[in-house]
Amino acid sequence: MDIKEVLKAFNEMEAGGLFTRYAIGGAVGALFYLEPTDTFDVDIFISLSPVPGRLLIDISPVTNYLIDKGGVLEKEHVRIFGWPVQILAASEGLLGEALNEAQNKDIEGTFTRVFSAEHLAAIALKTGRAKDKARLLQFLEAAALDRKKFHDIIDRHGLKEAWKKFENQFLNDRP
Amino acid sequence: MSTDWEKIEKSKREERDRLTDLPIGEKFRILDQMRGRAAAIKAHKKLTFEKDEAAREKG
Repeated sequence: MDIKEVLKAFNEMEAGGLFTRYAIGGAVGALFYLEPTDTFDVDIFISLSPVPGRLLIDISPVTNYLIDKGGVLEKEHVRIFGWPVQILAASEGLLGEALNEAQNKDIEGTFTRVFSAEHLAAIALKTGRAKDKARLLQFLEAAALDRKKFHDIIDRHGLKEAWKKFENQFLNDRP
Repeated sequence: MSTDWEKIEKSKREERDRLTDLPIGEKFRILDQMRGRAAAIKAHKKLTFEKDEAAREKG
């Protein structure tokens, strides 16, 4: 399973100090809680220690590591072991919290970390594209969320209005 | 004959629950198959498009 090779590379980078922590988000993250749905890429969120005097976060050491392992840059992805990998920095706000509270998982002997179902759902609510709304509905229909934890997250991150709008659009059967 | 939507929905829900409850390794294998099929369809569409374009150019 090629995803395990991708994750092994991220485990090596974390152990080597290229970043402090990583976790899977997006549709591949949702796979841990929902039925499989087709997805093109894997989103991997990393937290980098800030470099003094620098405002921009530089993820090039990570992309370079993957390129050294045979990865190829393709627009905003690095394609490695058959997977387009999107590397995203997450240091604060909802993504930072999702990364800090990501859960340890095991894929047939390979360690990884995944955003919690509640954080994935809150991120889907925040990003709000059609596919994100569909994913949020999947989480709700599958009863995959701890509702209290989910509502605490959306309260903390100013997503109450977005939730009301989503509820009216999809759950309350109101025009 | 009328369609029993409730029965259909129940059966779909059961299948989705079955897929949700699969071990994560098995889910990744299903995802790999889905991605393989999507890539094959994309490649086929590209080939068909290129053939159509070539035929159009030939007149």
